[in-house]
Amino acid sequence: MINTRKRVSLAAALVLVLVATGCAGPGAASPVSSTKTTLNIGTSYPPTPNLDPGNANGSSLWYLELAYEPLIKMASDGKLKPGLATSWRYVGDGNTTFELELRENVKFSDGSPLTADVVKANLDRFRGTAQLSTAAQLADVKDVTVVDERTIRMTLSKPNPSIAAVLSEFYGPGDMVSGKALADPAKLATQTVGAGPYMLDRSKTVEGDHYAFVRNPHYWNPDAARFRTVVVKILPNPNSALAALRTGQVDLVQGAPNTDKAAKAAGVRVISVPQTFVGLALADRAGAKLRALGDVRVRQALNYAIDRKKIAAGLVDTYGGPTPTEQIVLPGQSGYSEDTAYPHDPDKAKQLLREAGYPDGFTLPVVSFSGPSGTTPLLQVMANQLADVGVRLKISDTSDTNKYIQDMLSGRFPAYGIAFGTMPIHLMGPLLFLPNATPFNPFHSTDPKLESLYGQAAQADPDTKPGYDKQIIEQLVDQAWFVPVLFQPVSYYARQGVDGVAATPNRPTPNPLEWTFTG
Amino acid sequence: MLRLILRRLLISVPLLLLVSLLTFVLQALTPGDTARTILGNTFTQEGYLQLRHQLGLDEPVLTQYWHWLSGALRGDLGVSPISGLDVGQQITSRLGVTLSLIVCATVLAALAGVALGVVSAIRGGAFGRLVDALSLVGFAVPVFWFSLVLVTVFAVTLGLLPATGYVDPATSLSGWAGSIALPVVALALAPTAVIAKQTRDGMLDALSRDFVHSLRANGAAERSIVLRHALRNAAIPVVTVIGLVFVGLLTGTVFVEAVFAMPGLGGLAVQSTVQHDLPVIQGIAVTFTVIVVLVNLLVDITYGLLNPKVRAR
Repeated sequence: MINTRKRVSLAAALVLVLVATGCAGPGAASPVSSTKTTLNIGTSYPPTPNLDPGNANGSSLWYLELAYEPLIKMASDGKLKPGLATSWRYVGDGNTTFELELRENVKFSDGSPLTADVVKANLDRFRGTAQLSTAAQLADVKDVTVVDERTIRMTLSKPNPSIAAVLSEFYGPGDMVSGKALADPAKLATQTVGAGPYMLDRSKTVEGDHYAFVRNPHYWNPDAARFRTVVVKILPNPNSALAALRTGQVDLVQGAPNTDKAAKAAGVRVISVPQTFVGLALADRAGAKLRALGDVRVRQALNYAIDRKKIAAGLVDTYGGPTPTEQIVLPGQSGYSEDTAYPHDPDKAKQLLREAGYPDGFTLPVVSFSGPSGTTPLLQVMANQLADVGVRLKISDTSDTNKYIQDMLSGRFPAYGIAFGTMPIHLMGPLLFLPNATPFNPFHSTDPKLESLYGQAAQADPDTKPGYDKQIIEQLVDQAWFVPVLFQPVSYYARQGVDGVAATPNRPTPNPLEWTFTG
Repeated sequence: MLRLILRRLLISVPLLLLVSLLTFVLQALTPGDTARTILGNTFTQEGYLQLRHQLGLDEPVLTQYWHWLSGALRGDLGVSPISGLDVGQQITSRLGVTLSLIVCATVLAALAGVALGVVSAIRGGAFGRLVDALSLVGFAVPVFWFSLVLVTVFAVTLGLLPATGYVDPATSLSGWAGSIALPVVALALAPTAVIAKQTRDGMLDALSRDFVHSLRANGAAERSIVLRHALRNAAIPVVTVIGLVFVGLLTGTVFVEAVFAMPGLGGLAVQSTVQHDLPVIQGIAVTFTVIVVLVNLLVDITYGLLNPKVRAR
């Protein structure tokens, strides 16, 4: 039996051991060694839903960029450049036949070669497997044929000017998978078999914590693999992500609006670019659920009632230095219009409401997403300004994305809070404003002029397409389908000595393959 | 004692079934589903319905539950339809992280809490009031905020400990201790306050009992009275609180794992709930229930050791 004195001493010793071993120093404790040959990146999410390029979405971009070389690459200014395809073109007029010339002597990380047959097998899987999100992205592709051993032809069911962009790393279908690996696609969720500079090393990876990528020994351009290892570390909390950067655990992290100020104050390099428009989508444009919204004057009145500059200035910390907007595209994007259609004018708003038969306003039920940087903080501020013209916003918010989408699609809410990452107008159509756009056109609103312009833009050559894009945006603004209020930026924090980190409105996510260490 | 253990273990079987069924049904009732998580915002209705069918989500909830249960009874917790990872392996690899945090935090809180409680009961006066005040602070400080303060001070400013990450003890024992030091201290703060308060009150009560006066009258040493007799009497409610603390830390660890970027079960629980990843949610619910059952069993055994009357029952 240990006597009481010994017991107390033992307890004290245990505490001391715990504290003493706890002070072993950050170097010993870090799972990720930061050397000049290892790039450590911090991000908020593991690959979501998984590593299969067929299910790619924004949060899996870095993982896939490292391991899967796309057919066509996107430079930081949004311009397209050769990847696994050395050239591409539309055959004839009307953007309905698309051809790619493939690079020679390319091998996948499992050593198997890239051939036209493998590319066809990939594209057929991406478009023909309805359970993959790429099926919707390639919905216009009717047929893929092998013209010769280096040439692939895609025949489209309708004009589509964005096929090249869809085959870039930004949207999964360009990421080619080894022909051998396609035999067992279920494994693609947890491993990478691409033709990119790196490949996932599962033995050094702890799923959900960090993902280690090593060089692909078969990569066609070994000089492009600048790091021996790239580790992507999941740092779900923005404050901890900043702390990890400041203590040298990572070289670059994804930023967050509420830590931008602290990052700048700490001398960290902040790279920020506007990306997501946040506002109100007036979904019930035919007035089926709420008659008032069927009148364009009412929708325009809501746009006049909003003081965008004041809101953007007031919500700097919530949305990380947002830019006011009344359009769904940014300056520099195809379709952007320099004209201001809706200056803040509450009197004009009241006048339009009176003319439309709503002198006392009306109640507008709206579903909103209250997660981090969600739509709720903005809608709450908008509610005050709308109340000044008599419109009472009744916000029903949820922090569950699934519930938000379900409520939005249910048809119970004539309007919803929207936060949408802008992209080329042609790609926004099937998601946002075409009659069957899923999921952001829940009332299947139609507008013959809009659809006609969209169809003309789809067939147009690169010289005339911007003109149609601009008319599409002007029509959306004129018909007031949305009340866009601000563009929320996406930000990244890099330690000094990491160069080549570039983000622009046309390509808002920096590509790790472009980064270098200079110190 | 053996009968007590057997009875507890037997009760845990229907308990596990009930918890797993309730978790399954509640999850099925919440809006959204796995198929939508997999497809994101880009999907065709046809693809969505096909995927739901492929995943068996169009079957009645009880049928889906039965599929899961028949696998689980064979020891197969299934594969996540979202990440493609084996649920059993995911839980095993993360259990060590969560248990490291919770066990160390409970031990630290128990040692510090009991020590503070005993000293404050004996000394009383200003020290006693100080322990009371500190207990209030311990209750009031949010673990999330306290974690960030620890990171700022010990990792960013002083550079003594890592800001984030977990090191497996098999890789480096000192690295492991370094990686869990701050999260353990963050987790232990509130429980230390609870245990200190409970110990102090229990000790004050025990020290005012008649048997203590008798011991003093018989000339027993004060140290022996305090530690051998009074503390033993005050220990039963303290052990109960320690058991409750351990169970409570299962939820507290969610915040700490997020701040310190630790690959534990708490983070996985949150992620799988948001994603509607049913097999993972079920696996975690069962694991947590087993942990709670075992901790309660341990508490009961400790009662028996401390109090012979319990043993006899």
